[in-house]
Amino acid sequence: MSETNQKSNSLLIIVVAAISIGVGIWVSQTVFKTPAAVPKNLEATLLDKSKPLTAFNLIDHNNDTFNLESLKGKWSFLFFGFTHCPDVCPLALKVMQNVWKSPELKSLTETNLKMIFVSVDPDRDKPKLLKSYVQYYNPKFIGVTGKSNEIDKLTNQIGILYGFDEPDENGDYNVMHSGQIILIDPKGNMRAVFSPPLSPKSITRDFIAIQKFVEDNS
Amino acid sequence: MNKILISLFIFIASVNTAFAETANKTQPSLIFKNIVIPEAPPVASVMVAYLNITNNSNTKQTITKITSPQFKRVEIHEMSMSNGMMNMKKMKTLTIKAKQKISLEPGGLHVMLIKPIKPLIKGNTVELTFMLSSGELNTINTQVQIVD
Repeated sequence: MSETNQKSNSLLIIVVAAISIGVGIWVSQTVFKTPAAVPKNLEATLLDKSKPLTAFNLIDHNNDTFNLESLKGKWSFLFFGFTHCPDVCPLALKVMQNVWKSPELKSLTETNLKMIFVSVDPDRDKPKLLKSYVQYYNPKFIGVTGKSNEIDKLTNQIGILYGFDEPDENGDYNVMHSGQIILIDPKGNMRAVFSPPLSPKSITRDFIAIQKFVEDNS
Repeated sequence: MNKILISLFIFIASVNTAFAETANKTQPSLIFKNIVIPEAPPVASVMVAYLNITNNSNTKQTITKITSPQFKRVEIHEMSMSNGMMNMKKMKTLTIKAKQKISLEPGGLHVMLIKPIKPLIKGNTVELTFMLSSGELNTINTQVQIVD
């Protein structure tokens, strides 16, 4: 038995062991896959079970159809409000603008993210106005509105509330509405809710964790 | 002679007004600080002003009206949660107790600036005049700014 033979035997053992470990890891990760842990310390409310959205038929700020299919293929952040809103909506859109700009999401924003502002006030928020309004915050942002019954099809299943006050002596009226941002996954499932006070940092951090959790489990 | 008398009268009147104004300016009842008017989309029909108001006087002060040459109307609104929705209520007046400070800030009270006469962008000046129930007027000027 030469020294060379002994060396090649040892090498063979090492190679076999390495392959075995590799195969073992691969089998455990694929065949006996354990679900990824639910992210901890989220400020967002992650739904226990994803909620598949059902059909609705709205229009975007270019007057093109915006429906359930429009929500598929990318992650979507949705906020519901109205352009005559002085306080809550501009703040929420500013938060969405800052989430979009955050360096951690740079690779995602171009390819895998949508920011959507749904106006629940279609009488005043026509597509042209909506377009100028949302695109002030970012040219990629999407304004959506439509017939009230179609808006309700979306808001009812997401749990967004809104209502109209009586017009004042000038004919102006306020719209009461929920202040949450809703997160929809690329398959059109509602995944999480971000509640006020909204912070771009915590939304970005939570979104990255939720996205990883969903992708690891799919 | 008449001309001299009239001139004298106008002079005395203007000096009096100047003194009165100086007195008012040196000791206004309300002090306005940290005024912020965030820039809004140029198509926005409303803007908002946030600020701190301190009542420097020994009696309560009530703001009864706010006007601005840059807006059709100015109102004070209060944001609150009602049935899970953000709701906004117009306030007819705003009373600040003696020596008290109040903050008009996001999610609470704010000055709502309705229908800009022309779109306002960063750097444009907004003039706001606060009228008090005592008749006192306080005018402040601030510039629209970008707030992140």
